[in-house]
Amino acid sequence: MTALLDLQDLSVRYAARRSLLGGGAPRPAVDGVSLRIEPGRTFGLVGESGSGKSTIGRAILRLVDTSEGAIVFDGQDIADFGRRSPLSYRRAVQVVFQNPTTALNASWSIEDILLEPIRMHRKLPSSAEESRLVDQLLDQVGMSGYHRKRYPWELSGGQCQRIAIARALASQPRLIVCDEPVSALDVSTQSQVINLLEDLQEELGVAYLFIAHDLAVVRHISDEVGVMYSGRLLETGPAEEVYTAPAHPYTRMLLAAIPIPDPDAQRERRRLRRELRTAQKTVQNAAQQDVRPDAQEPAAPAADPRAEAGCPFQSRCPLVMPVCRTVMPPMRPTAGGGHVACHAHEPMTNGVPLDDR
Amino acid sequence: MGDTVSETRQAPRRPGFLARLVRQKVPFVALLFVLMMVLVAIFAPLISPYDPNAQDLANAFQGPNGEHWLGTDQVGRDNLSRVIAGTRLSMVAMLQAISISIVIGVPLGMSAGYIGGRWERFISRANDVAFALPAILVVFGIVAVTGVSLSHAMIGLGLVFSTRYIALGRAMVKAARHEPYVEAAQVLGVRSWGVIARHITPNILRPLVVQTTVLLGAIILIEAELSYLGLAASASDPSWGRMLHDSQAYFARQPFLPFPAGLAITLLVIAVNLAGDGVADAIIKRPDSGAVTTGKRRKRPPVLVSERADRPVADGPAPVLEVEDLVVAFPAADGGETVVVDGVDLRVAPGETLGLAGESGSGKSLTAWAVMGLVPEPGRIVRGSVKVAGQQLIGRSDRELSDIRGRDVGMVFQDPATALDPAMTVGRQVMEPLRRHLGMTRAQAKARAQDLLGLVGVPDPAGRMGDYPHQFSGGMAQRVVIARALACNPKLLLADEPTTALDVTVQAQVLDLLIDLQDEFGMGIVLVTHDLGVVADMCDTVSVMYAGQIVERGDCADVLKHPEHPYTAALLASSPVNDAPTGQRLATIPGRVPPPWEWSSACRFQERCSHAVDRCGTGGIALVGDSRAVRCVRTGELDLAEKVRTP
Repeated sequence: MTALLDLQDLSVRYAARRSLLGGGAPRPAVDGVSLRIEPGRTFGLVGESGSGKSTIGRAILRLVDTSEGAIVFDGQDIADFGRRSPLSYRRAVQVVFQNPTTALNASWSIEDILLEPIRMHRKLPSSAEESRLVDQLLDQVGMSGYHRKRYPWELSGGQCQRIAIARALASQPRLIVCDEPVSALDVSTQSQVINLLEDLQEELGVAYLFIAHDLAVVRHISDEVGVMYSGRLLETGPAEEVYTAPAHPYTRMLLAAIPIPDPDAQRERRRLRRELRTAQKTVQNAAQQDVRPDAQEPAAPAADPRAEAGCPFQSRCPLVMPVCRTVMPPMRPTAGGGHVACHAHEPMTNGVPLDDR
Repeated sequence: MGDTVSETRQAPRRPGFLARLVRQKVPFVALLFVLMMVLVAIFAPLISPYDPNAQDLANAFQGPNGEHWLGTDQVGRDNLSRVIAGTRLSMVAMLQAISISIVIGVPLGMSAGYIGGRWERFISRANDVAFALPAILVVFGIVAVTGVSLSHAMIGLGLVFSTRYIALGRAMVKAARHEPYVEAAQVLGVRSWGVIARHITPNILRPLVVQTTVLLGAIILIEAELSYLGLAASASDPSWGRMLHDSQAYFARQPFLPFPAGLAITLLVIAVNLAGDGVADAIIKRPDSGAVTTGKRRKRPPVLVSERADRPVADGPAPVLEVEDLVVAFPAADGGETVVVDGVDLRVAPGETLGLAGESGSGKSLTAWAVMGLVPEPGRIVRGSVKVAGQQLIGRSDRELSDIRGRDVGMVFQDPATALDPAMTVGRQVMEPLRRHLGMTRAQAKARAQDLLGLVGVPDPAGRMGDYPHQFSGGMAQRVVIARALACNPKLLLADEPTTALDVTVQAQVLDLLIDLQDEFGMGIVLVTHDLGVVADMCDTVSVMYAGQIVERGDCADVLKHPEHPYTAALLASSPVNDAPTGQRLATIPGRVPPPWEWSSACRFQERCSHAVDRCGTGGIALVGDSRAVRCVRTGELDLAEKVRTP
């Protein structure tokens, strides 16, 4: 099957802020990421804040410019479009943002919000048919006709997110970039929205790039997931595989950190995550002596001094080796059908999950 | 898709623009006055009782009388007619100046804000220079070159005032530029001008209207000033400023002479500003979004200290926190009150952690804030009892409460970025409670603050005392907040979603830190969270809240493994880590938490509950039990534990 979306070695650099201290070259927010999304499938992109996952979505939506590499949609490099994206691309690629209330224009009624894409992209012969389509879209996302005349601030967060999904669907897109679509919602509403997205995919065959910081949320909806750290893709693979047998130490750390609502299991997980951290500190302290005495905050990604060379995870990694300081590990296949970028990864020591019940 | 289930309400009746305007009374009257003046200006020749320029020297210097309602001037011209003619002049002047400044300023400012880059830098630099020129000097210059003419003066004024629109338009558009709704429109393929005109403009209309009315007032005044100085309206024109100028020489002979024009200027300026505020507020469809409400401040009824008569005798150590029958309410639209926290009881022993769990709208955060006496205005504590280490907090003054906060009770908030003062070094912020509550000297406080920062895991505490909050990552900043909260060794720590804003790996570290610190300090903790995983990680007991009430409480492991309330079970089932295998649907709770004004005395969860029966609709469902308690009429009938999958 040909890919609907093909990211080839994508890098995005934001212009460096001019600071008093003077900056060097701008650091890339996304650094050589390659991934493919097949039609009608879901790719889940996971990472913590600052990992560059949202920037990838924004590059696909052409809200930021690509620095290097290519974004190929349906066989066409979108860089060839020039400054203004053709309407056909806008029709095909849509977005659902994190904050449902600010994603909808507060001065517009729900009806107007849905009519805008309908008028732009559907070119229906009469306003009666436009109106019928509004009803149909509302129905598709589980809202009813009496919401038409309402305003976004009169709806709950979950309802606003349904409207945002309806707006994205209005142009009959082939790919929707979902940028943390459930992070601002309560748990019970989260699963409502995820179920809705899955139903719509089954019905309409739309593909999703599902961006989230929570691996547990991504696992259910995704066919494939990618784990990002500091602008780099560290691991990709089938969702179930990455979740149950994580190959990268960072993925393992992420999974170990998710608290689960079972006190007994959680006590064990806490013990393991503390062990992991102690191991990490020991290794880091040993390694720091000779390499870089300035790694002040090994635990905080925001303050993490960006490594000029080598693996971006080196300063937090419990398995760090000298080679990690100098060479970025290439993506290598794992036993589970995924790929991982880690020098420590050997098929032999492959993915010992922390929670392998 | 359950969202529609509980909702059968019709769309609310939404007052239109005019209704919103009329409701504001004073601004509406002001607007009517302005409109009247506009009509006067339009029909000036028709309603004018005399020719404004007809001299009648025999009747000069008259005061108000039946013939001439506002008297006559030094050459016997009718003052009323001259004020009416002057209205027309002022209106035309306003229109000239304001339309020029809007036509030039708004597009330039908005395009600079939207396009950014070099265009923005050029426009804003040029504007900064133009902004610095005093309006009246520029007009002097123009008049000096072109000769005295009202139109020329107003064109000059319009040019000067366009800088105000450039600055405002640029700032407003720049702020809205990366709002998600604007980016969503871009993704839909809406062209730039469409985004600006249809999406951004309606949302920045309010400040533009306010700016316009302020400038209109200024134009009236400047026009009067210029005419007074003889630089705008020519001598024969019946301008208000000119009338004032003329009255100056004859003030001694007819003291009433300055009043007609003076009052006209004053009233119109006041009315324009009031009307502008009213229009600006009425533009906003959404209620309570910054619009000034003219509600009277109500006298607060006294808070009742109420304790449960049937409260169980405590076993074990004396609790550090004992909350009983806490009721918090907000004013309702109909003049009554809406209860948002409804009879909550909490009990925390020393060294124990209580999880207060629930979805947004459950009242869990408000409960924690009420414990500290920090209910946001206009809400209030109606009744209840809050005892921290035995001392009753209800009924205490703000001053007494602020002594207790920080000393006996520490607080940690959701967002460390806003909990810390960005303009103060973290060292001083940790030292502050030490000096205020414990009376330490600077040196003592400094030493202790360093210890505390080390204790919460800030590396190189001595070196980082002088750093500012923005130099810390989110997780490190939250550690600083925790250090400050624990500075005075409080008996109780209130943590409101302390890890929600943090990444999941950082969350794990902060939770571990809280556990370690509790072992060391022995304080009781109330942990407010929506995440039952966090509850499982560090709580001893848990109280689950729904729609303002505690629906289930008990030992943490017991409640999470054997939930007895359908809501607790449903929350557990829809937790993302209790994941259904791919291909199956996730468990959901249909609908949403009902808003407080729809809460009944019957079960508030029944519309969303898959176990609801007729009995659930009859009122007065009590929280039955003591340390393990459930608020459900079907307790004992349901086996809910099975619904909860464990991963």
